[in-house]
Amino acid sequence: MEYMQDTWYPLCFAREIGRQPTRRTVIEKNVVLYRKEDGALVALDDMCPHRFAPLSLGTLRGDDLQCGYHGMTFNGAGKCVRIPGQDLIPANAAVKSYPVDEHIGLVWIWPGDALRADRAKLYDLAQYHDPARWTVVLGESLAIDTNYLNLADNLTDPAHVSFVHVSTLGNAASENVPVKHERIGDQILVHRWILDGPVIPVFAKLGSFKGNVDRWHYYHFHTPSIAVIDFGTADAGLIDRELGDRDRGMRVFACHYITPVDGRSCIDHWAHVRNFALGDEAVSAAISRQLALAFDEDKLILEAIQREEDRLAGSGRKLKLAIDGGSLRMRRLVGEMIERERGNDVKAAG
Amino acid sequence: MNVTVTDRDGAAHRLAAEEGGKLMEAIREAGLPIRAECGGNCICSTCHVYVDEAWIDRLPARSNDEVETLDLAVEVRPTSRLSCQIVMTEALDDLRVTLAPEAP
Repeated sequence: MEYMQDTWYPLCFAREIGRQPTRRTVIEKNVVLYRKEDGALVALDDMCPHRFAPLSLGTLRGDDLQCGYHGMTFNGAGKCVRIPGQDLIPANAAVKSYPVDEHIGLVWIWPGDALRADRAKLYDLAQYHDPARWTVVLGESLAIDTNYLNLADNLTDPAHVSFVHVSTLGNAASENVPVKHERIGDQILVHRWILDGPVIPVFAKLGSFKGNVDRWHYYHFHTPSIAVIDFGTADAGLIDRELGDRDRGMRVFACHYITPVDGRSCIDHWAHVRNFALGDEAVSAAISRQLALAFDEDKLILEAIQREEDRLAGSGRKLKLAIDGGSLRMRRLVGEMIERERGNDVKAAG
Repeated sequence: MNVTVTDRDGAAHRLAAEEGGKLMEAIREAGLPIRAECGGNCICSTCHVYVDEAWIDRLPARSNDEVETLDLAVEVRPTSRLSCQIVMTEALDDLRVTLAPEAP
């Protein structure tokens, strides 16, 4: 399958990587990750060029990684620094090293042309840096056996919430509320307001709403695999939708940092951010529990869809309904960016 | 008012259309085979038609949404339109269109 290459993919939570060489897979590339003694991250192709043993089975020697098979040793730039049994190190004894960065609690990797890797292009979540107004909770790594675009479909699609998440994030009041979508640069925004209806279970537990509420879904998708879902609730009539001051209500961002693993699996590294009960660990844990429950509901459906896609082997065609505008636009945008990148490669080669 | 729709076998059908209604609805109501999966919301492109050359300049231009959604269609031509985005007005009486091939 084709993927964007010149982009920062979320790879894992930063807390997962230490002094133990660890394998992760992104867009069908196996990468070994570790930290140098000063904490700096290293990402190398996870295959020794000698006999193809995974370097993640090896051992760290200071800042260098020694293959577990015959002791070939590579530095953090992927350059071979030792071959036991010979003095000469041939020029082709090297492994690819990837640009890697630690940012907003995650490890990010740039699989494409290292010369184009630009820190300024890292996805940033402004709320992560503003603890006076927001509490950030880094959640779990949820492995889902489905193509990452199936998960991205789900995360550009507020309409499923009324049916999949009735015990947590949704209720029937939103079933027929139309979904609006727009493209903003290389982002997709899908949104809707559900006015003057009952509160959803998660806010019934956390809030103290007396009567009907207005609630919102603002689904932000950043190519190729980041979704930030701004959802929240306020007393009916409190917030002027045009002014958009959603901080007056209870507001949660569910963040999904997706690692596309291969054509039929991905990992959803999720987190959440909120503007109420700041620093309250019991509330953090309660939201995490509710979201974990909801994301397991998505996983069940998305994995079953993948099994159907495997069985059909490309012969099926999905209906395109009124609610699908956001997802279809998302897929078009990802496709367009892959095309654009191919154009860049042609220009660079020419 | 009326429109003439040529189906994918080349047969022409003269249909009644309602003023203020969508061309897509007139085609569907006549039983001609367009899917119109998204119900006229400019999402799916399955109501794709070619507008007769003589008529194309008399239609309001495509919106950005229509241009984007046409990306999903096959064999798109300069005269391609989504029939759910064509609202029938007096000026479009006797409009002629042809059903485009179905996207796979």
